[in-house]
Amino acid sequence: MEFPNAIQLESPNAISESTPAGKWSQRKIVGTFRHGWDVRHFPFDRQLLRIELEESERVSQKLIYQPDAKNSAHDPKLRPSGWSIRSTRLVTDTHPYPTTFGDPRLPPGSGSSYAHAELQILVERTDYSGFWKLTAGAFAAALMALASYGLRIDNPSVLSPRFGLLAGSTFAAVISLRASASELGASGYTTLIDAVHSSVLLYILLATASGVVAWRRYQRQEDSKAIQWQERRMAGLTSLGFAALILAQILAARSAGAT
Amino acid sequence: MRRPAEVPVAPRMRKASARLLMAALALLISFASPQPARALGSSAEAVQIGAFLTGLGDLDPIHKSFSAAFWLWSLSPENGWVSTGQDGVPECDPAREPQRHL
Repeated sequence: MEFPNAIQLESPNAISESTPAGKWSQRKIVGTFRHGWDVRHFPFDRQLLRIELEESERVSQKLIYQPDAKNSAHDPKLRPSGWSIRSTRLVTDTHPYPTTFGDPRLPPGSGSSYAHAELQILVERTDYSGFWKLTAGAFAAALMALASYGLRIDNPSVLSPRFGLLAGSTFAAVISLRASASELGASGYTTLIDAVHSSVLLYILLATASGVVAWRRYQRQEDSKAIQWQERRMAGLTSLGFAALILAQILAARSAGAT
Repeated sequence: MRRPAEVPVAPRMRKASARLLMAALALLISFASPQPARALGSSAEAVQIGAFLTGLGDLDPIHKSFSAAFWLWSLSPENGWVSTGQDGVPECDPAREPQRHL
């Protein structure tokens, strides 16, 4: 028997006895196993962890596995940190290969198949603090962008600090995005964390656009109060839109992660 | 002078000798030549296996791994573990992929 997705294995205890029903063998297995994590909906994600077992000697015409479904389970006291175990089950099938591995007893080119089993463990994340850790920088950047509306464009001395604040918040959001992507190990798809960061960047972009428009209106010597009113309206609308977008993204991820 | 009469050989005996000779030849050929490919039997041994998870941790998306501890058992009408080592340990097969074996 082999464990195709094992990285490291130990087997500290073993028992083997003859019984009227046949030979019963039991063994403790402790190991580290590979898993392709899908963190698209982090922190509302569920993971189906798989421990694969496969017969390595006798082909499936000689030996097959049958699951002992009634006795295969998990310890109810098991509480992995930050996770909850939803279910555990053992499934069996056969794994076909397009080769005979050179076995002279098989017709050449006929392929072969081996008994295969999977211990499937469905786990659900219960600790959401990781979400705040990975998005705190982005939300701080959004607050900096909101604060930039407070720097009145009709005062030329605050023009440079205002755009400096926006540049700084953009930089903070981009750094936070890169750090979170590295922390999650996600690649090839967009996660909720990526979507939140994209929303923050859009919010900063709108704040910058608002500042540019206000500055151009000020250059055309338009009414200062009208410019301020437009700035306040823009701040309110974009902030509301931003909050709604973040909430919608979180709710969508939560509902998708639960399925 | 009379020639001694020829002892008649019964046709039945002649046939039996020929058969015996053919069988001996066939046996000789079968031992001398390489074993032909044998078709595998269709009756597969069903081994019941089960697992009980006792530990789960190190759920690590960065390294794309997790750690687990569990009891694994088998009930076989013939051999116990599907591929057994001398002490009933699931057998190592370093030729195929040493990292994933016990």
